Amino acid sequence: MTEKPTYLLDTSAALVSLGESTPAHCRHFAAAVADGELHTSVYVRKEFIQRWILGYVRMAFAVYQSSNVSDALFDLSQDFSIRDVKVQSHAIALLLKEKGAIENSRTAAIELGRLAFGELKKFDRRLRSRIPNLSGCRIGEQRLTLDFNRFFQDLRAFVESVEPVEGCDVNEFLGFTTNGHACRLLEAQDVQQKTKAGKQLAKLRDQGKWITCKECATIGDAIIALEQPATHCLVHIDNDFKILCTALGRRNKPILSERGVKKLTPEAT
Amino acid sequence: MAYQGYSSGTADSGSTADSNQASVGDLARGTTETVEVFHEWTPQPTNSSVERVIDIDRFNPPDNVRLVSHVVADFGKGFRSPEYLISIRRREAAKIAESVRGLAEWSESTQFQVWTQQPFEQLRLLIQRLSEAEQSAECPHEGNSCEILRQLRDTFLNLGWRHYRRREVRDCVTAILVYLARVYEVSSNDAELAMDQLFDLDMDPAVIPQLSCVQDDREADVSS
Repeated sequence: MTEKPTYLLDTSAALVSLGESTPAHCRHFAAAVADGELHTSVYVRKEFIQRWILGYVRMAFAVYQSSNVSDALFDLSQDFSIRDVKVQSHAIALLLKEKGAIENSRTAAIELGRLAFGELKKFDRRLRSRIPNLSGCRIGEQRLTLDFNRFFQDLRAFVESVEPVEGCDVNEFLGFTTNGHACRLLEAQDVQQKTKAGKQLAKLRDQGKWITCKECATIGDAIIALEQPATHCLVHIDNDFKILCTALGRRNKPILSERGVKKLTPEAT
Repeated sequence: MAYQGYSSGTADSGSTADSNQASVGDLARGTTETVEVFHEWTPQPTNSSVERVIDIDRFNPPDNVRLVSHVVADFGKGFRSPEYLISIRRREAAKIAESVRGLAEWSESTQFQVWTQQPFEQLRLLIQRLSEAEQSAECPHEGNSCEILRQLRDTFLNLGWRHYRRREVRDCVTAILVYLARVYEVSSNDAELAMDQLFDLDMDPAVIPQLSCVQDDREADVSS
């Protein structure tokens, strides 16, 4: 009997696994991993928190502190960049309207803030299995515990708990000064030249930078690839992982992006 | 929050001696005409005006007219008190539980969505009622029950109402509502447990808008 493959999901793939994409894209993902078990990492959870969960929290506070929900959403849509939570203000406004919470800033803020709780819960329930946290990421381990009678205080406490860490074990893991994992990855062909994370990793190494969460966020793909166990196949939407995984002798399985699926089957969205 | 809604008022007119008008101070010399107006908070405030016509004794007119406006907050406070909100939550949750239980009768109907509209609307109204009342509360009490109600409301969204055709879904949601109708205090653990139960039934208790996944020029090529 053949053993079930174990898949390690990159952050973008993890998101699709939660059903947060078009139905056609979700189906494409489900078919690609149907034969295996889904795993993720503390580091991927960290990226999920920073890109999505904190986005909702930030929106909640911005809306709470505005006199008009629609104006606040418009301001926010100007503010979010492509790598952040790409929540279209129109979609959010429609949703708040549907939930009957567009008129009142405080109610709308609670509706947005509670999505952070719901989404993180969804992530933790669907992706329970984690690979070892070799990079020692502390942000990815934080829990969001909310008492809805102290909603905004608890959200603030969560934001405080995921503030950038200065003395992180990731420095030891990468081993810039000890010819560690990162140096060996950078020796591989194409990593520095053809991947964003590789280029950035080389720059940080050459500058002898101390890695805090700020720098770490720019080399996320490299960390995910370095943490990947030999037993796991990395599922991703990003071409760079092909190079990174090959360099490390690890398996990878690319899946189409939402746009790619749309191109493939224009009618199935 | 602005008070609104006048429900009763009295005009206590009459001349009073200066000595009795310490609060009016030095401005009040001679005789003073006092007009009192009472504004009471009501559970469902509406705009209203208060008008009083005071007859002045033309042969002995007052030197001052003192207007005293009383805001009677006790009445409204009662409607925002934890006890009152608990009673509202318990009563309405029991009604919604009945509505959800009643869906069984229509579970095979092609028009099922017509029937799920009722509990959905009841949930929305109860959330609105409780959250608005708690808005100015010093210490919110119904936050966790509102969260559970929001979870239940979300399970109807995005075609989620279809799940209510299933008996186990109706039983679970009814049990949650009966709990809300029974207990005095709802804890954060209750909110978390409810969410877990709804997830276990493949429902979505925290509906978000469809988001575009992060993608850029490094998008994977799956052909090779």
